[in-house]
Amino acid sequence: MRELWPWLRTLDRYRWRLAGGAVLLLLTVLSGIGLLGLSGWFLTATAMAGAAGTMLNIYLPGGGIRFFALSRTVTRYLERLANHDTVLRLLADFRVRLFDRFARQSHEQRNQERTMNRLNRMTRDLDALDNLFLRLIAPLGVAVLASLVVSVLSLLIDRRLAVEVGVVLLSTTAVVSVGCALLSRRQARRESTGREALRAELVASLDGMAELQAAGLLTADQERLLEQDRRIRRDQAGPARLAALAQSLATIAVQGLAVWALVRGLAADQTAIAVLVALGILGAGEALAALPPAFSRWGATVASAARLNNTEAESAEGLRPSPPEWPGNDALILDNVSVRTPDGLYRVRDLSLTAQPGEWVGIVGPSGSGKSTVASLIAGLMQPTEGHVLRNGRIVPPVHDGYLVDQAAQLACLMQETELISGTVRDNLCLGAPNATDAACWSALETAELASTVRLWQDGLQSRVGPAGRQLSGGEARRLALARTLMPGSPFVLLDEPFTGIDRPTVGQIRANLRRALQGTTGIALAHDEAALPPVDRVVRL
Amino acid sequence: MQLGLVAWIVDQVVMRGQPIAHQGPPLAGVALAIAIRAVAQLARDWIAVRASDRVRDDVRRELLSRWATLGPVATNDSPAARASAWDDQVEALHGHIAHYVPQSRLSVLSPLLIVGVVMTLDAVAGTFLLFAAPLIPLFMALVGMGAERYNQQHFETLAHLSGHFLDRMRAMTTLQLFGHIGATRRDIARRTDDYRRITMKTLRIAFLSSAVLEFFAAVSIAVIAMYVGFALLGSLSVGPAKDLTLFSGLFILLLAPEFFQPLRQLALHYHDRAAALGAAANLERHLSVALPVPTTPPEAIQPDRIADGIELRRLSLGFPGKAMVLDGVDLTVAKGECLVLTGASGAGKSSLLHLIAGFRQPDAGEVRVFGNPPGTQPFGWLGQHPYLMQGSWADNLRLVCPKASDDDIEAALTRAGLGALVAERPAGIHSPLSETGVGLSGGQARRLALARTFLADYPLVLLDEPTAALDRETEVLVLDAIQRLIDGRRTIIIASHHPEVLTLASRVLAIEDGEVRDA
Repeated sequence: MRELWPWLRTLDRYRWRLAGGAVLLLLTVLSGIGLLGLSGWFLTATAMAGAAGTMLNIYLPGGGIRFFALSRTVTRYLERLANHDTVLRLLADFRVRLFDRFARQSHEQRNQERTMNRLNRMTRDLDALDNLFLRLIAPLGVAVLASLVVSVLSLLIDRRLAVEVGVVLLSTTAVVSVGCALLSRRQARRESTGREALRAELVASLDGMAELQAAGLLTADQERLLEQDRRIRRDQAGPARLAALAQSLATIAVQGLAVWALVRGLAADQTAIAVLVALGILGAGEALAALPPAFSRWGATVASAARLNNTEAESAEGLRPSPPEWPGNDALILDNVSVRTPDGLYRVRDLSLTAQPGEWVGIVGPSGSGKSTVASLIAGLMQPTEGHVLRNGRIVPPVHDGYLVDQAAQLACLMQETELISGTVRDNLCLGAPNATDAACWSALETAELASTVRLWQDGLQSRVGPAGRQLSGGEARRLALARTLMPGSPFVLLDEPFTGIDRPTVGQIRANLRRALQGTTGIALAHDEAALPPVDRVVRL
Repeated sequence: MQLGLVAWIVDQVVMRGQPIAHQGPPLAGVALAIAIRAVAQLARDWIAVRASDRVRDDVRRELLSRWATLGPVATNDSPAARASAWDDQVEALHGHIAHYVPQSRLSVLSPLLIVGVVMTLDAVAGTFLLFAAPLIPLFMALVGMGAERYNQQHFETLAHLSGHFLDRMRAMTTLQLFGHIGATRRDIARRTDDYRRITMKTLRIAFLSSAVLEFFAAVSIAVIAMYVGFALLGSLSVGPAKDLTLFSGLFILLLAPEFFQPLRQLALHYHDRAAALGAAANLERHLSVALPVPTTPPEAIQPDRIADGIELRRLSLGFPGKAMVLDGVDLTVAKGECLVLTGASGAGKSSLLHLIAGFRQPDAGEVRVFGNPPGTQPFGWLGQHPYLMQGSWADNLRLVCPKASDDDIEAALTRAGLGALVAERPAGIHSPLSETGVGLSGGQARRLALARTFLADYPLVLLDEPTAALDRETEVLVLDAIQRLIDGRRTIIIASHHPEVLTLASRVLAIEDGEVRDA
């Protein structure tokens, strides 16, 4: 329950919309009760009047019946639309907020978690929270109100009946909501957690299909997934059966109560009123019938909320104060930098290095010598344990700080991993230069020796690269990522193993092109040996 | 039945002046009827849950087997879109099977029964219900047709939304580095809002269908109430109205909502149905993707062909919008040979390996691996994007060889040049891959994937760019390791343009303009 608080609090922003939805919901239920109750009363009253030969004002109740008939339809339609719209708005809000939180996570925090889990949070867990208002809070409120209304109606017969009706309806409401939630809590939670895990494993199996198929293990792996799915569905069926049972119990309680009220009313010689109350109880029963299926998912909703809250705890909140000015120039400086792992091992030790404005420095070292760490430091993906990294006379802030400010990227990076986004060639090129012209795109592609390939594709710059750029070959993807760093607007460039996966003749041509293209920028390039570096002014060994 | 008894009790008490205390047996009947109804309802729901369970199991199995047949290099859908189909959309079928289908049977039978009963009580009221009934499915069908189309759109949007999210989440580091977070955030807000608008469009129509029904139900109750009321007052003297008693009148009024109840329930579940149909259309797309047809039927294999080598016959492969990658390639690789394929990037080295691996079907021609279709026997595989799972080093190696012992794993890692790195870690091979939050370097990932091929004694090993992104030192280690693979028994095919790798080869071939030549 505690898990839900932060989400209930955000409902506050929409309180007027929510209140409007709740009022409509109440009107719908009241119209339903009114229609049935009034019809029954009218019928009975006319029969008695007909038998006794007395006159009865038929116009008032007749009008009431017609009014309720219309109002029930209209309020129900409006209520459903209004409430669904509110919930979807709420979800859109939640989703962007969650994206913000993820964007504020550091590179390191991000690497500790599967991307898949994050996506689940963005879509499924948030959707599960729509249960919260539309299926849990609002219907429960309506059931309680409907019970009270019918109970007040029963006052027309006598006070004892009113108490009985109130007690039975409210306790039935409690049993089919809270009882259902408590009994199915564990299974529903297990189903929800299991499903998240299964989905991650499914994606893993799809991602690793080549490896599994090569090893001849794909069929076995898929069988395992199906078996896991069956287990989860067992956990899903339990609460579903419980909900059906609760619904049956509610039917018995409500109909039994209606008969009881009728008998009591007849005994009290208030026939017409008795029929009205009995039919009113049946109307209120409709509000109760919606509760068990929703409340049997309670455990899942809480589990989703708990997962979402975890994300909140993980991410660093708030912006840091802007870094202090440093007396310096437009250089890129590593000043006595060290990075240590939590267990005290040095990944980089006392490194000092300066790339003067317009200068290109190459860093070479074997695998494990800390090249990736240095690249992460310069990019702002990692902070040094000691010393400072400076750019333009300022300490380089973590990239996840000040994340919402759209700024032309000061530093264009090509990291060791080729990361492309789904979309077009142009989308990928213009990540850091949103207003770049087509000419600039082609020029960058020329330098990366990709222009002739892209020209052959039907859609040119608008060709789609597939999810994570997977429709490109390894070399093409790498060259596109390289071209991205060559777009105009970034005075600093960082290249980490720029030529990975590109064939030797092409590398030669790109190196020749880069001599001209890198002029006027300040940069650092890292590679395992000098042959894999772009043209640089000097080389440092790690 | 229970309602009839209730109406009868009211009638008995009111019109005949009998005291309520004498109504014991009918009251017991009412109680029994209520109980029977509750039990029947319960049985219906339980059975429905079971039926839907079977269907979902079958569909999921079929999807997985399809994807396996399409192979790992098919790029029709992202893993996220597939996962969404397998999970969410199959789940959407549940509502249809568990709720809509039984309810749709019920909504035919039960109103018919009620109309029959009402007819015997009062022909006018019965006729009225009879007229109202067929109008309802008609209206619902009209409205539903629109909803279906929107629903399909809704699911497509949802799948795109998922794919888009996953992609941007994966590339979060790049987005941060290029200062693109703000733009992405706006993009996500816009897409989510689009999703809301499409959903609302669906809902406006879907809810309209149930509103139509509600309206008819409400109006019918009102009209019947008025009709019966006037009849009881004695103001109607035509037709059967004058025979109406409080019993039959009240019974009809109580039955009227019951008449509409199954249909109303159906309308509520209509949403399930529309969602299921939208999902089904999307699943249909997954299930109807043309499976690659083997270009040679299995019975055409000639057993006398060399069963201990690899044969490619007139092999062709092209991609839409691009030039032919392979154009009538003939190639024989003898058992124990170490063949290196070279060529410019994008020339088709990887594609040829995919064909030999059976990950892709050729447009024409055939592939035989030791006399069998490709992919029949396990083989060693190192792809350009090796798959690394979250977990320990051991987990990652056991992925392809679950039975491997700890010693085997250590040996394989050592042979791939990772021995020192793993020994440094506190829990050795059981340490997680990324202990400090920093993932493996490209070279380390490649060597880990290479270690997988050392783990089992595969007769065929395919390596796609094994030395990409390695520094000199590691390169020597890896080349040494590959050298040790070459023992004259294993057949090894390597795609590489690395000069040092070429020296390992017993034969080097170059791929150029769709052809394979001696290099």
